[in-house]
Amino acid sequence: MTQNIFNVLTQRFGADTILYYEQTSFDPYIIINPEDIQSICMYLRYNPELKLSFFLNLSGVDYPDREQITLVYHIYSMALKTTCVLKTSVSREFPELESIESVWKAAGWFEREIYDLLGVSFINHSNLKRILLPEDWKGHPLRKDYREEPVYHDMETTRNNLLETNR
Amino acid sequence: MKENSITFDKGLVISTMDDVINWMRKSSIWYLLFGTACCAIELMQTGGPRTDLDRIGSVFRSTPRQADLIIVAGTVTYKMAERISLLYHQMAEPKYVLSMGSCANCGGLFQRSYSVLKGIDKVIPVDVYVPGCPPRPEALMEGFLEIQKIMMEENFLKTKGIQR
Repeated sequence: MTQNIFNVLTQRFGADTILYYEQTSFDPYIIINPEDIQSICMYLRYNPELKLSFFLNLSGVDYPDREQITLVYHIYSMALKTTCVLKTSVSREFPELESIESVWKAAGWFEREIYDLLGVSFINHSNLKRILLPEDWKGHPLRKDYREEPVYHDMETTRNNLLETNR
Repeated sequence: MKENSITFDKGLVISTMDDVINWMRKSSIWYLLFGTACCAIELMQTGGPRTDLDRIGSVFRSTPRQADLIIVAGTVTYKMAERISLLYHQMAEPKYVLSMGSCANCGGLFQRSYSVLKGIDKVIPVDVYVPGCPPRPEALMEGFLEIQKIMMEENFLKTKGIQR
């Protein structure tokens, strides 16, 4: 089914935008160009054949060796019971991407979470601020090179290991 | 209360004021209705019929102004730690803190996490630590009995206030 979605998307957007299709046993995925994410999602949602109208999940993965942050979009069709997984990568230094809040309003909260934990900024987002961590938090904890600061608001962030201190 | 009291016939007891005050206080430990994670479920169990907290006079109060004891039941994040500190400072003296479960004691399972406080004793002074993940109701009851022991050693009239 994802193969079919891939074909439809390639026909509509061309091979420059829809880059690659990977057939895996569990969740086959389509790799796309990050610049067109909003229009692709809009197309998938309102396409009468695909009917991928239900936004399931948006998550992010940090790949420091590739200097990339990959965003994974899970979209589901309630009518046809099919899943579509879209993957797109942005650079680690300047992670920037179009928001899909205009397609699915609920995606805005997922984008805020990814902004909070991975530091990806979403263009045209209505309320892009931290959702889980305190607003004065420094850094983005789900990046692999994140190190916790020794003190936060006069609270120590480390504790002595009793097994080591009592040896 | 047995050490400092003399019992006569016909139910007459002579004791010190401190002991009587402490004895009354320990028989009505009102704890703050407050839980931060899954340990709070076990805290509810302790209030249930099997290990009934009510039988030692402990009932929960939903305002810190009326509470004697705060039970930190569960994982504490930095965001929550500031609120807990605020609640603790709103309580009237004398006040006691019971740290319940591994997470409140030392961070426990989430000790390597970026957002979890590594032990509530980094923020507020703790009187009794109850280990376990989560502690069984019997263990929490034991913690309450320890709090009662601490309460019986208080000396209010001499010091005109709290001094530990």
